[in-house]
Amino acid sequence: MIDIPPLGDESTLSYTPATRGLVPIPAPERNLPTVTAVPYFKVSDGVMPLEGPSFDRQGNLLFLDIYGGRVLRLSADRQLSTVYAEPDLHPAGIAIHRDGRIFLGAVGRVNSEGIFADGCVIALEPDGSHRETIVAPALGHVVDDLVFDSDGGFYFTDFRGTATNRAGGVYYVGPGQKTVKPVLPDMCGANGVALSPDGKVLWATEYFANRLHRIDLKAPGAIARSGSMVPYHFVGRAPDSMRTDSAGNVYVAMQRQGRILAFSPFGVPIGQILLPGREDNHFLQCTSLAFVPGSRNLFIVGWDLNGRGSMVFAAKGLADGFPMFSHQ
Amino acid sequence: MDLSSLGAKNTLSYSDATRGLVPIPAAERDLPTAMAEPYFKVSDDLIGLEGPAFDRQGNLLFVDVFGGRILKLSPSRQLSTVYTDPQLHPAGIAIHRDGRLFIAAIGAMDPDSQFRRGCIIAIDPDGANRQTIVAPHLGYVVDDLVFDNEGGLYFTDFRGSPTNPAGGVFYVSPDFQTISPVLPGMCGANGVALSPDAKVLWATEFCNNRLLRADMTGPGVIGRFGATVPYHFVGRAPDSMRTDSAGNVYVAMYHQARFLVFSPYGIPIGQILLPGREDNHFLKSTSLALVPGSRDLLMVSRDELGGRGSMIFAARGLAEGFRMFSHQ
Repeated sequence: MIDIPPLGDESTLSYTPATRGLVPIPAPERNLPTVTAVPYFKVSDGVMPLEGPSFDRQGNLLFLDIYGGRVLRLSADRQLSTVYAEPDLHPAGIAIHRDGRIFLGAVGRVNSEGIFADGCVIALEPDGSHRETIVAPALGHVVDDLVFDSDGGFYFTDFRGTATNRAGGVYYVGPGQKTVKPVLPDMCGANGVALSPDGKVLWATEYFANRLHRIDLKAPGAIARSGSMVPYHFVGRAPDSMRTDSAGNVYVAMQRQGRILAFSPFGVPIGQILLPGREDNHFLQCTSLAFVPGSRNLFIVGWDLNGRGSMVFAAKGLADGFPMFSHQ
Repeated sequence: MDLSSLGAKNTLSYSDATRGLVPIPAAERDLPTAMAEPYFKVSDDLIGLEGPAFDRQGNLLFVDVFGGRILKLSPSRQLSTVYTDPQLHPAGIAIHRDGRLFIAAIGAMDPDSQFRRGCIIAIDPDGANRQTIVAPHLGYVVDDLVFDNEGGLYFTDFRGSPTNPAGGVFYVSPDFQTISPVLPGMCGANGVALSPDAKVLWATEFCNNRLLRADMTGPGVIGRFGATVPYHFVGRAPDSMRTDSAGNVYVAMYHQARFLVFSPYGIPIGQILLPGREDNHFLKSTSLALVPGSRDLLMVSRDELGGRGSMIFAARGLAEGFRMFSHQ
């Protein structure tokens, strides 16, 4: 009944092979050097959101079952075991201390409004015993990830906030673990955090505002003059956890895109790693990765909302992983 | 000063892709691109066209912002005036299932040329029986609105500036008795749209040049991790938006004679250009409407720099328009 004359091809917008599906690679990132990861270990047939992969000195890969509240351990010969379980903890990040203790960042319980609240940082012995509270729930942080510096202090992200509410940020806890100091407050859901191998550059992702932060540090927990900026705005959802390699490159897991973006030490995109099946909307959930120290091998955790379960994937990065505080 | 050694290699020049006021940004140049065709010339003068929406009879309703008029273009291209209120400054239209036209209005201009008294009104299809839905004294500067499938309304509050997040998206319950903030703290919220299943809310942040995407868990309620910023635009300025039956979202780029199209996850996958934009014609593109059950769509713009008046253009999108609340 609406009299629009027939419009030709020139006036008709169409899909191309590069723009189909839920997560086509954004045009400015399409020509980056690109590789595809391979499945390494299937963790579950069902949907189990995974996070926090970290290697211990024995070569075990520790990671988290967020909603099961479990710390899982995958041995070098691919035997999976449970180290610790605490329902309602909702652990989201792991950092391993030089003394072997496992530090967990946790987003905490789901409150009456359906959002996470009263998160914490706790420490466990390698066997899951001797739970200690490091950052108490009473402080109100929603701790999403954490990373040690070489002095044994650590940075953690507070995931609070929304796209238009800057309630989160990055905080520093010194080696004595007495105080929590704001480093980069007022972020819209701080999520990933990483340090350069020399500890002089701090990286963070701002999940809801879709931004990459790069910070020159002058001292532990202290930003250098003119040291804090935003080298990249991501396209599509959503920058999650991040890791660095021995060359100072940083790798950001793109949650809901089945993709890892790699950035140069100055924050310019220089490559990407895809999870297989993403073009058919498989394994779009992709939260984090871990480098094998002294090797270009890396492992990515992801899960599939379309029937293929939860998986650890393997690929090779641009440079070797370096010995983090856990290995010093 | 001897600069005689400077040659072509040292001389910055325009290319065919970078001429004019609104060259297509490099990151968007390789997107699938369609060119619209003129459909109906509304006037030889400049009329600020906005708010196109189809009623069940196939009429295209739209507004003349500064003339305070609601206009109707019949399927046989007869133009008529439905309603006039010179102080109203209407900017958006949503049509209720019962046939009433709901008008978003930025309201009367204050002596300092600022808008502070916007409103939402409803009128019968013939322009009679004006009712106030959101009153001017509440202080919203209402720019656009969209019904969900229960008859509730999301509207944008256009207040704010790039450094003052005074605007936002709000929800009006189906009985029009309560208004609740959905995405407060925005720098000039402008466009608003819902996915066909109403589970994804989209909005544009005009002054901050951002696309917002929110997963909804209920009417007016954003889920945990729900609101993100999947895109930062280049150049001015994201205005009104519409969705298609595949969940893609179309954003009018005001001052660019261009409409950007995003995947359901917020990744750019195409664009529609208005003819003459390379010569700066019809740059003030504000909005569009999709024909239900057809890939045809109509776009409104005016030619402030080029003197060709105000026009409705036609093109075909990636997927068909769907039956909005007006057609349910």
